[in-house]
Formats: sequence, C-alpha cells, structure tokens
Amino acid sequence: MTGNREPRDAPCPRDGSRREFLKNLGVGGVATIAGTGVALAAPNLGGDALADAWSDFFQDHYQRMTPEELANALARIERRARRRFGVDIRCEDTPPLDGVVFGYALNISKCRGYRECVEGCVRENNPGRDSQVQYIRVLEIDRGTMNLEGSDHYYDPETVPRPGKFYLPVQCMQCDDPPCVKSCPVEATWKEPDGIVVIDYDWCIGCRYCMAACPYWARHFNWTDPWIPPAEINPVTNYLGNRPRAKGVTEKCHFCTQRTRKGRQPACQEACPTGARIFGNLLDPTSEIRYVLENKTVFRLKEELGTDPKFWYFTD
Amino acid sequence: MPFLHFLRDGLKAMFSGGRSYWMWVGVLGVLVGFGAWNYAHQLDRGLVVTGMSDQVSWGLYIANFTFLVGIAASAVLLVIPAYIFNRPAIKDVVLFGDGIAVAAVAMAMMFVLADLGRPDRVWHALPYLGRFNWPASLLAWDMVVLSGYLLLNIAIPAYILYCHYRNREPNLRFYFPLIVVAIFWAISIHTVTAFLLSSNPARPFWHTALLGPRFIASAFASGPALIILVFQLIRRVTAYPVQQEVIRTLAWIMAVAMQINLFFVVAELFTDFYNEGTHAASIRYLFLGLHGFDSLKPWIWTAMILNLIAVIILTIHPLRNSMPWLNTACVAGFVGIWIEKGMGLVLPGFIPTPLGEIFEYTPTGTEIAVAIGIWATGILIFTLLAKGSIPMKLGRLRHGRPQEKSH
Amino acid sequence: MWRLVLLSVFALPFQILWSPVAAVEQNGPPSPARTSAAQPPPFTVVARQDNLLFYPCGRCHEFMPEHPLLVAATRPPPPHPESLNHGGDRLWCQTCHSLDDADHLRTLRGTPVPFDRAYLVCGQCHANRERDWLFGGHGKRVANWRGTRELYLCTNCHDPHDPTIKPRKPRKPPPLRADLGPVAATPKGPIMIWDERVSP
Repeated sequence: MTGNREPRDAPCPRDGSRREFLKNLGVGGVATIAGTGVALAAPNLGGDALADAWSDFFQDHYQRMTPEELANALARIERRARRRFGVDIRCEDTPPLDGVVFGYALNISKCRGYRECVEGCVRENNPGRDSQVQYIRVLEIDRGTMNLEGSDHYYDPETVPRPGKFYLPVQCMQCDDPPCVKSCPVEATWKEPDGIVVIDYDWCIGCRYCMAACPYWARHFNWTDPWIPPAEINPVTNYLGNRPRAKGVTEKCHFCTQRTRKGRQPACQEACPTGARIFGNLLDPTSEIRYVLENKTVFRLKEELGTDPKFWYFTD
Repeated sequence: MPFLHFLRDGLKAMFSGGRSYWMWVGVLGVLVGFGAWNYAHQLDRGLVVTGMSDQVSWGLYIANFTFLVGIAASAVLLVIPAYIFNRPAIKDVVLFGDGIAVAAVAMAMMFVLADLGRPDRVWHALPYLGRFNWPASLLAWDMVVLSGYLLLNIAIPAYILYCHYRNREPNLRFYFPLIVVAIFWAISIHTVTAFLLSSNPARPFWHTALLGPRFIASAFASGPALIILVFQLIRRVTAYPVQQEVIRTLAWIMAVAMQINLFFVVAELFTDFYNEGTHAASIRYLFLGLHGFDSLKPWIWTAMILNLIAVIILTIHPLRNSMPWLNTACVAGFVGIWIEKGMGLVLPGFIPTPLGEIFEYTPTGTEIAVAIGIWATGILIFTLLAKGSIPMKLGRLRHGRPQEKSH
Repeated sequence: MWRLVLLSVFALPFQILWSPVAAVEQNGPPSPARTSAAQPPPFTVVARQDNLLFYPCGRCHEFMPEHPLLVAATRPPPPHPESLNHGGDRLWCQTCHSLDDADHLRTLRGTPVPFDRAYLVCGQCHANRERDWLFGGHGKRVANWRGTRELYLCTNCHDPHDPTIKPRKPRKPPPLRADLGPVAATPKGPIMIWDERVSP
C-alpha cells in the first residue's frame, strides 16, 4: 500500500462497512477507550473542543477519508490551531502534481555551513520549538575524510567555513525504496506519487520504529507538546506538510509539500544564500536538477544501503 | 456452564490464601500502582519524561521488551521435553512454563504500549478497523506472533486444567497439534523480535545475521535461569512437587545455551574488531567507549563477567549439581543476559546515530518506575495463574467439589 | 601565422552575425554558436540595473573630461570601489567598464553589455560557471521550480569587485530535546597521515 493513493471519489465498499462498524462500535464498547483517548488528546474541552476531540479519535487514515471527512478534518485542524495558538491558519490538502517526481541536489563545495537552510525550514514548517525538531542537520566534517562519525553537529565558531572543514547538510532523502515506510506497522507513512515520503500525523501511533529504520536520521519525534510562539506560526499549511503537529508523533522533511506542490521552491532552497541547493522535477529533462545529475559528478549518501535516495550531493 | 464454574472456581482460588500470600500480592499491587501512577504522568506530559531523544529513540522499555520476549520463548524448553520426548516429570510442571510465558508476553506487550507516543491510537493497528502493515512491517509481525503466542499459552493450559477440573484425561490428540504449533511459534516470536532489529541496515550494530541465533541462545539461557529459580520458589511456598530431574534438565540446557551465547558474543567481537570499520563504532562504544563517551562500558563488562561466572559454574558438573552454586549461576546468568540483550543490545544500535552523533541515554526515574510497575504486573499475573492452577493440578479443586484447604 | 590571420578575416562576418550580444537582446539563451550542447531553457533575471545607487553612470560621466590621468587611474575616487579584489593584477576598471559608455559594461572586445546581463562579461573568463548558471547547476532560481525561470545574476550574489563569499557567524547550533543536558563534547575528527608523520 505504499503506492498511489486510492481515488477519493470511489471509496472501496470494504470501507463503507468498516465505517458502519466503527460507528456502531463507537456507541458501545470503544466509547470508554475513546474517552481516555479524548482525555489524552485534548486537555481543554470547552466549546467545540470535546466534539473535535471525539471526531479526532475516530478520524480515518488520510488515504481512506471521503472528501467530506477530509474537509471536516481540515476544519478541525484549523479550529485546533485557533484554540491552541490563537492564530487563524489555513490547512489545505494539496494533491501531488501529475508528471512530477521531486529531486534535490546539493553542492557541497558551495555550502559554507551558515545553517540558513535550517532557519528557513523552521520558519516555514511549524516544528515545535521546544521539542528538538529540526529537519536539517548540517555536519561539519574534516577535509580529507567522509566519515560521518567524526563530524561535528554543534559547531559554533565565530565564522564559518572553518579552515580544513567542509559542510554536509543532511535531511530526508525521500528514498524511492524508503525503509521507514516498510517499517511502519500502521501505514501512517507512505510514498506519494511525486516521490515525497509523507506522514499522516493523525494516524501515527508513535512507536518510533521508522526512526530506527531511517539511515539518515531524518525522522524526528514530538517528545513533548510542540509549542510554537504564535507570532512565528506559518499560517499557510498542508495536511501532509507543515500543519501544527501533536505530541507523541513522528515528523520529517516533506520537501515543503505546501510550497512545492504549488510550483514554489522549498524553504531551504529559498533560504540558502550560496545557491548550493538545486531542486526540481526529475521527470523534466530541462530541469535544473536533471542538468546537475547528467553533467556533474554526483553521489548519494549511504547509497550502498539500497534505499535509492532522491537527494544527491555534488562538487564543482 | 461447567466452564463458567471452572473460571469462577479458578478466580476464587486465585484470591484466597494465607497472610503471607496476601502480603505478597499486596506488595505487588502497590508496585503496580506506583508504575501506573508514573505512567499516568508520562501520558500527561508525553515521552519527554523519559531519557529518550531523537538520537536514542528507544530505551529501557524496548530493552525490557526484547529481553522478555526471550523469556516467553523459553517456555518451549519445558514443552519440548514434556511432549516431544515424553518426560513425565516435566509434563507435571509444563503449566508453570506456560504461566511464565503468559506473564512474559503480557509484560513485553505492556512495555511496547508504554513506549508508544500515542497509546490512544493502538486501534490503528487492528486489521479491518485500522490499517495493519502486514507483512511488510516487522513490528506488525511482532504484534501478530506475540498475540498469537499469548493465545496459545492461555488456550493449551486452560484446556488441560479444565480437563483436570472436570476429572477427565486431556485428549492428547486434540491438543497435540496446538503443542507443535506452539513450539514453532515460540521460536518464531524471538526470531521475529531479532529480525525487527536486524532488518535495519541503518543500524550496523543490529544488522547481523547472527542476531537471530544469538537471541535464541540467550533466551534459552536466561529463560531456564528464571524457571529454575521460580520452581524452587514454588516448591518452597506451595505443596506442589517439582522433581529435581526437571531442574537438572533445565540446568543442563542452560549450560549449553550459555556456552553458545558466549561463543556468539566472541564471534561478534572478532568480526567487528579484526578489521575495524565504521560499522564497529557501536560495539566499540559499548565495550571500550567512543570519543570519551562510555556510559555503557561498566554495564556490559558486568554482564560479561556475570555470564562468564554462570558459564563456569554450569560447565563444572559438581557445581551445577549443587543447588547454591546453581542458584548463583541462575542469578548471574539472568542478570547478565538482561543487561547484554536489553540495554546492551538496544542502546548501542542508536549510538552513534546514523549521522555519527554520539549522544548518550540514561533512563529517568519515571521510566524506571514504569518498568518496575510492569515487572510487578507480570509477577502478579504469574502468581495469580499459579495460585489458580495449583489446586486443580493437584486434584484438590474439582468440578462440583469445594476446594480443600491449602496454605 | 598567416593562416591564423586569414582565418580570422574569414570568420569576422560570422562572428558579427552570431555575436553574443546581438543574440541576447532579450534576456534568454545565448546563440547556438556559443554552446555546443543543448540549449539552456529560457529565463529572465532579477533586474538589478535600476537599483544600482548611481545608475545611470552617464549622468556624471557625461560631464567628465576624459583626462588621460583619470583614464589611467587604477584607484578611482569614490563612489567607485576602493579596491579591486578580483583576478589578481590581471584586471582593472576598464576590463569590464568603458569610459566611452559608462552605462554599459563591456566585453573584452569592446561590445557594450547592459548591467542586467553581466553574465556575458563574467562568462568570458568563467565560461564553465556561466554554462552551469544558464542550465541551473550554479546560482539560484528564484521562487519557483517550474514556470517562468527567474535567475539571480552573478552580481546579485558576488560583488564583482570582491567576488568571494565572506565567512560569517553561522546560525545557532541545533537544540536538544527539552530537559536533556548539553552535549558533553564534540568528537575529534580522524587523525590524518600527515598529522601522524609530521616530525617534531
């Protein structure tokens, strides 16, 4: 079930009966469990919060929701942000574009370790500020080696680049054969037709097996309730992208679905002051990314693990 | 109806006992409550109350989980001699093995549940209602085999006990196929748990074909260690006779398993260190420390010494046959393997991270408290199961006959 | 030697016909004569000329006498850059600027180039970079990855009088999970063979 989404307008009959079953169950047995779940999910139960928490509990998997259910889910997300942060956000469900598979290339001879991409990503993607979540790690590595184990993640000198060092930003590689997708016991994460590996944050059970399976340390966990200062919230959000998350679920770089699926560059590309980042459509032979892949000597990190990453590094 | 009576009488037997019995249950109950209270705290605040981080994303909970699955699997060491090799002495006590298996699987499941970020969403893993990523996900496999094993280990002893209760001979033809399934199932639960870890090339420390065999070997060492100790306890506090032959057989199995396990550890060490590459970083961290980080070093060396002590005692016949020495070996082997394949196996998989960061982990008080609570729950489960089944097994509790006085 | 002269004479009309400036009147790919491989995709640039502080330069230079001393000056007075930290001693003002037409840059051959097509000047030496830039392997595309291709000019990122990007303070290091202590130490990199073999 890692491939294309099921068509929205034609939910399979199995789902119908399943829905019915859940509804009946909701009245009886599961009600108590649901109650606990509700209590866990939403400590503040005023106004429509209780009804929302109830619906959240029974919310279906993204790929199985009817258009109506999805619309309700998006509305609940917006209401939740309003309640929690006092901010009006807009949450959309932006579908993947036809004939597009995204790829990323990064010129490590251009990267100077400023960490502007990290900053741009945090500003764009609404990660909790106190929950350790940053999608991009910039590694400072000694020249003359490619050993990640000797890398410094916390470099903080007066000026970068430091002599004798080079910088290697690492983020989700959107593997074509993603081990995280294979590992997820509940199919909460999958590869979209445009090659982006996404997470349904409302379906994730927080077992963190995907974090153990990822060779790039790309997946991050909301150890605590992710808090964002209201002034810093990016109100333009996407269901499979940068909408505010809840505690206890995993998240990761999604190539800024809320931007890239509308033709925009990802936030890290935009933030990079050195032009080291090249993003585009792998299926378009005239795209920048294809030019790089066909004309530069590129390599992929840990390619030998066979996950077929769609993130390349090159030097010039 | 008789089955309801069976359950009713069983429950009655579980909850009737002398003062020391109630003291014991009370202490366990307090510990369970202590764990539950800490778990409530964790639910409220999130997993931030644990020592886990993005760097070390599994800790004490999953360490206990892997260890306990091994304990559960080792019940098969009573089942095989009892039913395949027809050893009557072992057949008499095989129920307790099942009881330990039930308790261990229950604990393993509780440890996974405690580790979940969103326990309110476990229903997402139910087939039909949720979406179950089977057969792709090894964790999905683990859920299947663990719940199946739990059912088998409840069904088989329940049937046998029920027959005793009804004063009938259990029909071997009826339950023998289940026994055979259970034997393979026991091996499978621990193999799947090993594959859960070894299937990740992202974690070179786990990514070894030896992990499965090593898990089975260490399970067959730690399991009998626990069973030997428990049987002596049962012999002492209840009227149930456990023959010395059973303990001798288990001690012998444990000796062989300990030797094999130690050999596997040496094989791992040799392969990693002879031509030391980056894949050896974790094992270097574990045994020698890496870049000045070495918080697991004292633990693993303690485990190695304990295992060595156990192997030496078990290998020397006179020592193995003397109860104090055997008990020393059992405690040493049990604790040694708990460290070796719990914290000593799960944590180094995360250190260094796939991006080479070395970040250490220490369990917090909350984590330890929840773990203690789960262990207490498991022990309580076993206590109740044993308490309920002993009178039936001894023939004191029969259908339509009130239970005779026992202590 | 004669062969070369003859060849140049013959080639002259073609060179004029396919002159890069002539072909790139509108911002777009240069002529096929300049790139042997495929055509770079069409693009526009982030216009910069009108934002230049003193542009049009001709406003002043119109009234300036072409004094021989000024013409030869390697360190012109403000508002011109104080120094030229580009190309060692091989370049000077008039490599890229022209006193006859201060509102345009000039190629080595003297062809005027608008400031918004500075890449035609830069590309004379940095031909590989220019090619990468035209195709998207160097520099930066603005805002979108499809549709109108808008590129930053060389001079948007590089000061032509001092083109290297300067070291600066990085953004702050990554945080740790809430309630977890600081990182105890940073790992030491590998010891290279030259570190080992250096005799005291």
